[in-house]
Amino acid sequence: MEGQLFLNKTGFEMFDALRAFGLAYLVKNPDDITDIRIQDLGHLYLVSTEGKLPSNVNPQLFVDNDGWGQVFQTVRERKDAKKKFPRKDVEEILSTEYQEILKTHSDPGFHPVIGNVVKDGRAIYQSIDVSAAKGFREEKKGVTYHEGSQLYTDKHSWAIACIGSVFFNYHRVGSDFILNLVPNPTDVWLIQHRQIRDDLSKENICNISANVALAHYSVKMASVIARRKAARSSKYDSIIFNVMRRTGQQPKPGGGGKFGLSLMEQFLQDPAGFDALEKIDIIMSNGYAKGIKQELTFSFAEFIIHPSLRTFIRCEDLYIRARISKNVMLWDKKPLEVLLKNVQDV
Amino acid sequence: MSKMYDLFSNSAVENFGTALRYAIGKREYGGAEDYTSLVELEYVEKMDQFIEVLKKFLRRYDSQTRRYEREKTGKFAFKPTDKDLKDLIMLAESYGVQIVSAALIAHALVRPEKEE
Repeated sequence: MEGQLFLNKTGFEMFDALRAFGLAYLVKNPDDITDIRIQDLGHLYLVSTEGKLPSNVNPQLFVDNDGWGQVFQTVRERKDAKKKFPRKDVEEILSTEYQEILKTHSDPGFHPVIGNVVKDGRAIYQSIDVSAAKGFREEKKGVTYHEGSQLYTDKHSWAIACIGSVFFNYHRVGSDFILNLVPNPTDVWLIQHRQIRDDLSKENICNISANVALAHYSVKMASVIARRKAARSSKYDSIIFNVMRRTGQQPKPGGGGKFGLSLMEQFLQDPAGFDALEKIDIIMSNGYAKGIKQELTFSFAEFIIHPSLRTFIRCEDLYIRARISKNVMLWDKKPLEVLLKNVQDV
Repeated sequence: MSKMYDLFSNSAVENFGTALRYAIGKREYGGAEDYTSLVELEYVEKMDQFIEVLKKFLRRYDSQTRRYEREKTGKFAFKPTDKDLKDLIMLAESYGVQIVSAALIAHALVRPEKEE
């Protein structure tokens, strides 16, 4: 390996993963075909490069993209603002301090600075990590209004997390929620990851609830990986998710966590697993119309999240009812067997 | 493997499940649209209820198979055996009635090789 860059984890899971993707993308030389590897080593993400690192930042990074609007959705642009709008700020930091960023991250001992007061720091937005949102971590007592304090981080970590969020955050908006999803890179190659991400961005993820969108995304992701044989060398152990609640004002934090992908892995190890995933995908894609099909979508999402006997029985009961009203096709035996093999006994 | 899969692959469960699938099949394909047995099976919680539901199901299924054989002379309807019944009861005693019922119903979700 030509070079290694280290991203120590801070405990803000999405922020950490976005920094890893952001830095990997930043150092990807557009003229070089060699790939970049991202590994989760537990306490840090390791970004390894084979080719020569670009000497300057790629200006293509700052071209208009939907992702920019999503990262800064909680920031209102004001004409009388004293500070620069964050998008300009990212561009300026990365353009002028690119070499310094590389140097900082070549040191395995570098930890991002995070706190309520950080010298020359930048705010961590909800869209980068919902657990950094104002009022999310602090208890409120009494009648005095206090919206909570803002967390800040050093500008280098912030800028690469913003790039990660623009290019690698999957964003899905529902009627009352905004969901951000980032697969945790256990051991992935950047080009493969981008192909998987591009394929997923073309897919329609059912957004009738945050749980359904998360479960459907995991099913789609497993299907895309199964379809792209080369992508199977990329390993993901979980999907990091952040939920924001839509309000009349700015979005409010709604929770987040890591959704394990072990069930999807089990599916893919079975020869009929791909067919099972396709079947579940069809069920979940039909969740928009109210009625039995929507109930089926909810029940299968619950099964994907908790594959227990209780949730399986719920799916089974609804499926039979949908079948009786001639709304769904029956299962082939092999894919159904894959489902049954993964019903947890407890 | 999960208990659910073990039960699903058991021959007694498979034979009773196949009979259940035929029973709920469409009338135009020789089925009886016997959803009552299906719903009763879904709500079974205790062993005596399970036996009662099986008894009723077999009675209904028997009349269905006799009608099928009468209408389609020379053809024989599928029937689970006495051994299947005994094995099924034993499985329900050792695994519990809910999981056995779920495995039976799962067979009703399987596409038959040819629609009956």
